[in-house]
Amino acid sequence: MKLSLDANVFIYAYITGENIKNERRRREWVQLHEKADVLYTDVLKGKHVVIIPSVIVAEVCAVISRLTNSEEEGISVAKEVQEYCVVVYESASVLEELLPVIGKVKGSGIDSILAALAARENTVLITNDRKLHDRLRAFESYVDVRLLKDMSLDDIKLISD
Amino acid sequence: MEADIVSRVDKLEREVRRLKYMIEAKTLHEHVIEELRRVKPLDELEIKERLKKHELLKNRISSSVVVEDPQAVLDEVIGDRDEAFS
Repeated sequence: MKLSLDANVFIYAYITGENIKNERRRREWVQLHEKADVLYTDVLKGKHVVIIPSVIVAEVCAVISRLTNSEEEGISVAKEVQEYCVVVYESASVLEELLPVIGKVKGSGIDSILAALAARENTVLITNDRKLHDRLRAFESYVDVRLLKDMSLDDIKLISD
Repeated sequence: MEADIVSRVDKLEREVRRLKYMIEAKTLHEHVIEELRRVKPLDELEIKERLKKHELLKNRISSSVVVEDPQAVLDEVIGDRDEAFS
């Protein structure tokens, strides 16, 4: 299946969350990690293809660098994402193609670029950002969007079949 | 008058450069099609290598987290896109 993953899904996939001290926070994170991990493992196996704009790679790099206080770790993760995912760089021609959908989504710059790319390439967009999810629901005909939190492990396994 | 012509020529030259770049640049879909071939694993061996490499990186990153509440950082960096752009 063709997917577009939001930066938060990558972050959950790379961080197990087992060391989070607060029990409730840990439980919530570990649940999201398990789902993102299954999803990303299937990407590595070639069961899914991920198509994302380069701004998502930049966000992943920024968050991992912050979480680990190491720019090298942020770059390592960004490099791996670039290796296994189709990254679209926002050139003049690409932006020109995406602008009509960006205009319809009316979200933040990054949300709009991600959603426009998902619409253009007909991918399933998976995010854990409820605001983005709810906004895109209004554009159902343009983007097939799913909220990671609301997806069960069975839902995730099902999209791999 | 002369300055006006120079300015118009300059503007046209910029537009020609932009159009030339757009013609030469791949369309989004062409780029995606080309990249789809690259990201597809060749065989089981490559899949095993990918999984092993990813597992090592994931474990290293997970054990390097220095903040108590990663979700708070995630919300701060990514969750406020709307505020940042509205």
